[in-house]
Amino acid sequence: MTLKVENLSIYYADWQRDYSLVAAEGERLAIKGLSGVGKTTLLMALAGFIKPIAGSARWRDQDLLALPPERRPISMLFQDDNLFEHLSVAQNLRLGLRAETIVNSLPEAVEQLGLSEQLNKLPGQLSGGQRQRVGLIRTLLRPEPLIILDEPFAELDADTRQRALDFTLNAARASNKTMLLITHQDEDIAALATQTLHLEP
Amino acid sequence: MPTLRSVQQLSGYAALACLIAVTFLAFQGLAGFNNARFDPELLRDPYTLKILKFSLWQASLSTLISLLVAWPLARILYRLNPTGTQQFLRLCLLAFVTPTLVVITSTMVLFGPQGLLREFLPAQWKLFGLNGILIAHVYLNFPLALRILLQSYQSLPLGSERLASQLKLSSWQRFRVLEWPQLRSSLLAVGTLIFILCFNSFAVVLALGGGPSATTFELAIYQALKYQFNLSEALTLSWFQFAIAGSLFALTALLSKIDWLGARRRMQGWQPDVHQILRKLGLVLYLCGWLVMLLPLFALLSSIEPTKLANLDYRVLLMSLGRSLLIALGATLTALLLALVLLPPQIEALKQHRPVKAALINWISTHHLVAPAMVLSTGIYIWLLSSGALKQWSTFWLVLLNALLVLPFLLTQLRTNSRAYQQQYGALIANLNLSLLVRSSIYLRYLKRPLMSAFALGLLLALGDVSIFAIFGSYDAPTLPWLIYSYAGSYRLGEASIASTLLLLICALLLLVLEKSHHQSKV
Repeated sequence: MTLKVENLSIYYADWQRDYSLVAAEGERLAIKGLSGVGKTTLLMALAGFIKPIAGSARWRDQDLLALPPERRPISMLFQDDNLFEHLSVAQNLRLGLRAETIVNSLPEAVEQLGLSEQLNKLPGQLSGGQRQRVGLIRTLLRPEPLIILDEPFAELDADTRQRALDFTLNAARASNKTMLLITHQDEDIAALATQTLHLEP
Repeated sequence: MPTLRSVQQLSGYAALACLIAVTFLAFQGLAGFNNARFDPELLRDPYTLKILKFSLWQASLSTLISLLVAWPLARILYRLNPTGTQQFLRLCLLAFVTPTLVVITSTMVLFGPQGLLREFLPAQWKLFGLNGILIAHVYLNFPLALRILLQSYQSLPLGSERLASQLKLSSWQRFRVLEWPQLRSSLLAVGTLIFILCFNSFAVVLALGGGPSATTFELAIYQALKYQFNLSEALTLSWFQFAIAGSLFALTALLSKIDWLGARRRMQGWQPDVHQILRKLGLVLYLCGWLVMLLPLFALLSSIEPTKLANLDYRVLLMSLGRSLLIALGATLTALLLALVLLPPQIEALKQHRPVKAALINWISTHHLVAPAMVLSTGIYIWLLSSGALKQWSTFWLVLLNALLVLPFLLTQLRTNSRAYQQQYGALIANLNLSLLVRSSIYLRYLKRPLMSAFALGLLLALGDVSIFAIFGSYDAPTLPWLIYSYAGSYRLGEASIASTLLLLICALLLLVLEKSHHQSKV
């Protein structure tokens, strides 16, 4: 298995969770569960922002936990704070992308998700849905092979949601990326996921 | 390839080592020259005890009067929100950052032997001594107290006033239940800060002290060094001052955080009705506040005579201004660079939940606030003297020591924003795996406004320096504050007023930049 998480234990003062999961290369794993069950905590731990007290997380046989966040092969879309508020949308989009991606894939993605008119604006001038699409494009076009999305479609209306779903699916398939995503919507799971993990309280 | 974190940490620790080295060199200089030694016997000497008593007495009185003036005014501004409140607050800020020499000139013009208000004062009135020191200290510090106390009032929980009215609390109950718990820590913190500033005061005591009966430690060190060349005395007094001011500084750090720029300009929505008589009394006090703030400015302007203006040696004035600006610019840029390098290790320590380490880094970064200018300057001066390098290096140290004294204020300006940046974007930055160059560029662009604000503040503070120049400067090539001092010292008050007005105008301009960028960076 490409991603293997075994008995990963996260501990807070009055709260503890153990996680185990596996995902093959190119698989898209949807994570479901009630609010507060620890979905985001799992993703933050995999990305290196929360330190587990026990267990292991391996990617292509490499120990993820031994790597600092910036060295992990992960591109993550956070729930909030995905954009630098003092940089324009265009500047935000280019961060972390390869030069050829900026030239070849970025304009098409921007067009597809209806952001062409927004490139020179600051994030503060965008709606919640537009901000989320900007973050989504950058997360998916980055070269990292493992994509982590924390509620990526939460603020989108029906039309843009469908476009974002299509874009996400195509981008993931095109480069055979492995994806973990948190969502509360069954239609997102139906459209994207190849397997589902249900976290119990 | 070194990671950004390791580069930041290394350079931060290197800068910390430099800061400690400067203090160490200063004390080494004092201790190591010509058998100078710490002389505990001196602490039993009546002269030293007299200095201690006077230093504490004038600082206590200055603090008490500043708070007694500031508190009612802050309450009036909060409760009544009278017309002109915002302008009054701006004026307060200007007063706090006004170079001391400008205030000294105004005080002499108003209360001096030939002062504008002399005829209203008792016949036995003497400006020089405790009177003059108190007037200048209160004028320089009560605006700071007022802004901080007003900020405290404005932090009263929303709706608490309404609830207090609902519960039909009396004025006394309202004060006891609402105001006092909110103000208590601010009063203590700002009181301690003002006490330290007055305890370490140099220029005011030098110009208005009027002799050995009104001498503070800072001045006594200067005299021991410059006039008596008694290094043992300078060393002992330095240690003593460092110990007292250091303990008080640690106490302030424990008590609370002070955002001295922070009085917000919007008022709480709902306020209880104030009785007509109290309202009128409040407005009269508020007008008195305006009078107190404006009088020194009018005094300056009124003492500028056309003949003095025509005959003034503008070459000297402009040369002094140029010198002041160059030194302040060098000091500010150095301090900004140091601040940018010193912040990451501290923020990293906070991120790792290591408060003791963070506090230690903070203390080292800001300890020059309490290792008084005179102690540092004196020590380094002697060290340079003994190594024969005084002539070549005095300008370098003049700039560097000014930078170190400005540094604590710049760190306060930048710390909140740097921390907010780390909190908001730390995870994103790490996840994006950006190069050092791109990260730095994003960071500096984020910090643009706070940096501008810190830059203006640095210039403002460094422009007013007197104490470091008194040691390292050449009196034949004075800075603008030193020129004002020499004019005022020889009773050439007309010339002193012209030079003071020029300095004040520059400060007002810088203050505009500072306030604008400070508020924009908070939006």
